Amino acid sequence: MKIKVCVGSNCTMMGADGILDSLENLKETILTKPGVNPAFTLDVEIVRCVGECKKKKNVSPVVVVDDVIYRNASREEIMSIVLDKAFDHIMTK
Amino acid sequence: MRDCNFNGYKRKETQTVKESYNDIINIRRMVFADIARIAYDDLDLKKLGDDTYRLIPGEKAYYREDVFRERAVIAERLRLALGLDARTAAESGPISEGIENVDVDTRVYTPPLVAVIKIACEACPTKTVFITDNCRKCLAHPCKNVCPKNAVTIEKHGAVIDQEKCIKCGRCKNECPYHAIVEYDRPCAASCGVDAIKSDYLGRAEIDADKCVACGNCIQECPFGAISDKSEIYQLIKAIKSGNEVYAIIAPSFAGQFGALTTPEQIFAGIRQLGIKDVVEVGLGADLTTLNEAKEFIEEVPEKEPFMGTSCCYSWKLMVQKKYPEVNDYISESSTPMVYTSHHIKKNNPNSKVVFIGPCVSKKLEALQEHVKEYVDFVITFEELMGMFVAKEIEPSEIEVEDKITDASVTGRGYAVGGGVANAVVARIHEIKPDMVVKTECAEGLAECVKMMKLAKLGLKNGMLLEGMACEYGCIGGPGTIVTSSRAKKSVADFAKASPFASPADNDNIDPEQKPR
Repeated sequence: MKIKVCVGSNCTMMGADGILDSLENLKETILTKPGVNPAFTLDVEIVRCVGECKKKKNVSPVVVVDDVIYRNASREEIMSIVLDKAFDHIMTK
Repeated sequence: MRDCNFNGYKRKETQTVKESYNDIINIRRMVFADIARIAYDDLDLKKLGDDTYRLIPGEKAYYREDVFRERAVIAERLRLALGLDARTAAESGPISEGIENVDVDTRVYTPPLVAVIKIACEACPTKTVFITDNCRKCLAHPCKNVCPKNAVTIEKHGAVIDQEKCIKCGRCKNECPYHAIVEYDRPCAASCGVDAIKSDYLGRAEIDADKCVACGNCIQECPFGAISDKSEIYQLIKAIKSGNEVYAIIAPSFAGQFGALTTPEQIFAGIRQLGIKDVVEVGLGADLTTLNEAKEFIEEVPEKEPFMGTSCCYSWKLMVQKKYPEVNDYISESSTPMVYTSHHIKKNNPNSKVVFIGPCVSKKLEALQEHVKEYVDFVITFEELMGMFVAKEIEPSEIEVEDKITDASVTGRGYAVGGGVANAVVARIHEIKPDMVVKTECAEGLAECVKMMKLAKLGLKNGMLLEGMACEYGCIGGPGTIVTSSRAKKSVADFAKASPFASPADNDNIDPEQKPR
């Protein structure tokens, strides 16, 4: 899974660092536990302004998960996407 | 309190409350960006009411129970951001009332700089021990049995505490096998190290100006975002726009604050794009503080003074002044890094204006004092600066910069992290007197500062260098910061390492005449 977190001015102001912190925290905690799909990888990339805020007002923070753009992204939303994927082999059974 | 050698000290890495308060933080920052936009675009302040609709659009409430109250609260935030006082629900005028007084290009705000937004305060109960519905009404009822005031009775649906009798000892809470009893305090009061939060006639929080030292901790901790400080971004931007030569001085904690990909050099370049003439690190002034404090310590302690307290955190200094006036003389006489840095600029550019940019609310109060106000014309926080970047659509991370910043030494840059000031001073003392043994102690958070000073007053800290920081983690934990302290700590360390000056004595930006001999 590839996550790009925009750290442009708007997104930083509206909490991009908090999203980065949450993802790092997941990597150190739940994702180290047994039960995570062995095929699952999490690659977090910090990127410069992706330009979404220039197209439309009030969309920050912006996070791109496997090429899907999340506007007004929240930590809880992104974390749950990650965990759903990390444990998908259990859920689908 | 602890020994200041932070290399050997492992702190429990927990996330402080602040970072998880997303919505409150975002509202606060949106207001700063909005005021900055109004100032840059020369919009009519009389139409401030329209901005409450821009910031809180639509007819559905998102933050509070109804959209009207959301707009009313944000209106008071806008007023505070312009430097006005927040009003109560009893005032009938338009939100732009008194606005002509702040539509200027010089400092106008007056204390109190930290105030409760009364219409946002939920009047949380003061310290209470309370039995929740987790109570199973058990046969053993240890809560009742251990209560030294016989305040617990077992009623139809479970145990109940008679609040009149309860002395908040917490014994029942510790005994309950179902964890049904909770003890809580209002978060603002619990976070206040100097016990400055009282209640008004409606049970809402009220700040006792005689006790408050403007550390800003309650601003961060209130879960309803009901406490705010005043800002002067509007007047600063007007000062830039009216052609003043404005210099910025930026506190050592700035590294890493403005986006995870933004370098310190890009932050400086971004600030210049705001119309500011040039930027200087406050680390330069910190170097002078280090030199002066080291000299003072060697000369005074323990012969003339039993111990010495550091002088850079204004809330810490103010706390000592107010609570322990009898030992106030033992706080170093050195000026703060902010004052030294500003002096450095003003002696060559007497007609310029200086804005201090920092993590700090109490610097806003310090800058109003005699002997300081002539040096520092404006004070804003990192959050407020971020609002200016957003308003001007500046992306610091995309600016190409070649020049390195070389204003401050390694230890001057280290002031940003708790323990950094004492470390700098001790390192300097050892340069002069390599064999001198200096014992240090550092307090982070106002409550710890109070505790340390209490012991110092009793003579239990004699011979020591005492570092006081009103914010946990030091300046990187300040109320005006943007990123988590752990993130900031790393950026500050990297930036410190990049300094060309190992010692403050090597700093050739400082006029040799200014350095103490």
